[in-house]
Amino acid sequence: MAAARRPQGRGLLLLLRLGALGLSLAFTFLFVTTVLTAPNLEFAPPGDDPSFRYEDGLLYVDTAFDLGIQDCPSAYVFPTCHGITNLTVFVRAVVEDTVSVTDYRSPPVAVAVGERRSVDVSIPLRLAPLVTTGYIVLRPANVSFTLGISGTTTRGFMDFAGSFTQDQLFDPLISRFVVDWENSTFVPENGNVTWTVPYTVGSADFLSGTADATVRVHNATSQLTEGATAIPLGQVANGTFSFTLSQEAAQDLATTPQTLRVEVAVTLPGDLTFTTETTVEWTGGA
Amino acid sequence: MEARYHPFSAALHGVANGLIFVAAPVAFLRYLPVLLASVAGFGLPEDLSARLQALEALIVPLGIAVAALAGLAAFFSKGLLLRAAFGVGKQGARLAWIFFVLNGGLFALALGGVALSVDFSRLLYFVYASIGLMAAYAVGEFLVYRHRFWESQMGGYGPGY
Repeated sequence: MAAARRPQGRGLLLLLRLGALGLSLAFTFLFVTTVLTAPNLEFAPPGDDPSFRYEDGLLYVDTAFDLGIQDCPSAYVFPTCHGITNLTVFVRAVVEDTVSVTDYRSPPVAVAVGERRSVDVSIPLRLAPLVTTGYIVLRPANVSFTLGISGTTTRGFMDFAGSFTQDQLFDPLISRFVVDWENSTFVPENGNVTWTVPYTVGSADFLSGTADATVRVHNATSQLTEGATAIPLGQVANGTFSFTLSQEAAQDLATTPQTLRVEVAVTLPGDLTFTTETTVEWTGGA
Repeated sequence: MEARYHPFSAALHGVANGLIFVAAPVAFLRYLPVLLASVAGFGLPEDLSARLQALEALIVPLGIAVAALAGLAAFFSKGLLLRAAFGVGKQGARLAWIFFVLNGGLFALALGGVALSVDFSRLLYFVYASIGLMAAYAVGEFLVYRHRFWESQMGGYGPGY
């Protein structure tokens, strides 16, 4: 029987095994260092209250987040921890569980190991989808905020995202819209009757300029009248709505207790008109 | 003459791979979450429990396939085609096992208002490449050793001559 020859190509087999081992080790190294780095990521929600501003139909929430990665505690074992690239802060906001008003993502930044930085974000909340409901502007709204970060780490081999969702009650931008129907007055004028109703309106102090307010009053069957006025924003404003009524309508109001349906439309700078509706139990004329 | 079959080696490889690919992950999936949940002071969420059971139902047959193919590959001598075929099959089963266990590198978790997601599918390319090299090794081993094997069996006159 011939003696077995020493097979050729064993060096290639060794290379294949070493290559497989090297790739497995590379995976293990990157994975373990990622797991070790992950707890070192610092993401601090804003400590100060955010500030608000309104521009052209967008309500901006301005705030800042602190981002950082602590020095790698395992530097003796694994000399490299991983920095993060494409780190972004994202915010989603849904009003009353139905209307999405923002899906914001901050410009990406890179954070190296041992670095801390503050990321300024300016989150625009679109008010246009709320014109028919009046949420946030005329009515308080429950806004579900999802706040999170996402990025790429492990030398570009791993993407991650983390977020938490929290509900926040938003006071309306235009609040204390009190129309004092009890103290309204009727004054005959040129064959008609001018119905003057005092009002008080308070609005958020970061608003400026004026809002156009239109009030339409309906009885059970039809629109009785409408009046409009300009309301200064950013302050508590007092004024009067003046409605012109026909003699018959004024007579009916003066003598008949009834339920009035009142539509309020407020046009903010940026040409967004928000409407809301209420009812008034009218007890009789002044 | 070199032995054609190696039952002891087959049993060893089968059991070792069975421990790695079946017993250990099943123990991990069954007991670690329960342990962690009890340490944290809350019960295991039902949906998580159901997902772990589904994962276990996937892991066990794939792990058994890996162990069986590893045993079969080790049963045959180097240089036999069946060893190479079962070796390549074992690597394929390993790849499927890792892909399903790690969900292709995509993980998402949502608990209450907190959501976390990780995508390390690109990192898994290292593992896939490693498995590819091991499959190439199984084929290379057949090509390198077949001459020597048949020389030992037939005095130098075997397939390939």
